[in-house]
Amino acid sequence: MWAAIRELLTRCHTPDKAFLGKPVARPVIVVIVILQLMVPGLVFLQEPPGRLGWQMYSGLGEIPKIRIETADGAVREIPFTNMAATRRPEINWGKHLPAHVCNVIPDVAAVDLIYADVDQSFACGP
Amino acid sequence: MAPLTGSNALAVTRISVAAAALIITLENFVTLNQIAAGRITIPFFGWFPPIDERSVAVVFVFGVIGSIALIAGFRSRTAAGSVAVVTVFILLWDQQTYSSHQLLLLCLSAYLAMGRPGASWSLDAKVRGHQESHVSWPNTLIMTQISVVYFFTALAKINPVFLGGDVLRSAMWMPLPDFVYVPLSIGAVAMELFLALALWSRRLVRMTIALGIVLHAGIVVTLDQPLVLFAFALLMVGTYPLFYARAPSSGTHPVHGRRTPAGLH
Repeated sequence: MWAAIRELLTRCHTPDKAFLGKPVARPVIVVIVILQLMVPGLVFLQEPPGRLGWQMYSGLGEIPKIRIETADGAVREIPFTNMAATRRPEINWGKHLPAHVCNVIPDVAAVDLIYADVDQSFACGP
Repeated sequence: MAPLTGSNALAVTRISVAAAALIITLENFVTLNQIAAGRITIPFFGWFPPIDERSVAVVFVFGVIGSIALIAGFRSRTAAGSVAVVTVFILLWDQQTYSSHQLLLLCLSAYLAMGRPGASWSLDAKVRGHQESHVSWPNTLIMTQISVVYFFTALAKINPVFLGGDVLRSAMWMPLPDFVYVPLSIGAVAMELFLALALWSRRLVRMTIALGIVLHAGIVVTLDQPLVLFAFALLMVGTYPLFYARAPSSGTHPVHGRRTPAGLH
């Protein structure tokens, strides 16, 4: 990494004015490298999982199970992939998913999102 | 063995990134069509156009054309730029399209668009003649990006869930003896940390590249979703020639009367 930084500092001259016909200032390139490090660094310091943090396959985050209760009191689970196109753990499913479930499944009275440690309950209707 | 010049190394990266872009475009097509068919929509911005089958098809065609043009090296910088623009659009279109390989594709295609990706092994080079690239910084940005990815993905994996083997246990399609998962997980983290640093060592670069290829081949072969992981492997491994071209024995040659590592001019 230090070798890379040293090379950037010594060799980022652009004799043929490479980018859109304009020379590129050394600080611009250094800023890009700093951003490469800083963005995932800041994401790493926040509550996982986060976007832009290169946290793939880290096991951080969780996809909830979806349980619905219909107007007649019946309770059943529905497959997550019936409702969502992906299983991304960094999406705030509690914010988005219950309203969608209430809209697309008839006669749903309540939606539960079940995580390992906590359940979130949402009532359908106005 | 012919020396690997900086332009040739970048050409390998260009073709590899473009092939990955083609696979990722296909993945996006599937995801976005599911959304168009009635799965939940989670846009970042309300003013983005709604996701329907027609708009998904249009974006798919743009993605395929850009990817193929980049593979062929036809108007390479424009092609790389169009891949980057399509990727940004898809990332912002719906939160469900986000993935690390999608983000990496965006970064690499943007860096390619800033450099001379068509200087060698391309239709551009056929028309204009082979041109040795004299622009080093986009190549270096690609390399630093790869190191950063390895470093932070290793860092994120240093947690009880991953090191305890749970992630590999659930992600591998073939069951292994239970005692294997913990050492395998620790080994994966150690290897990623090693790759992040050792790719920069001219002395270790050959061995490091071999290890990286083994790591990514192992990931593709043993984990679920092999096509997507193959695209990710193309993005990562496809940049290795840029590291290799830095090694003195692989491609240094005098440029403008001084000895310059091939990947850096």
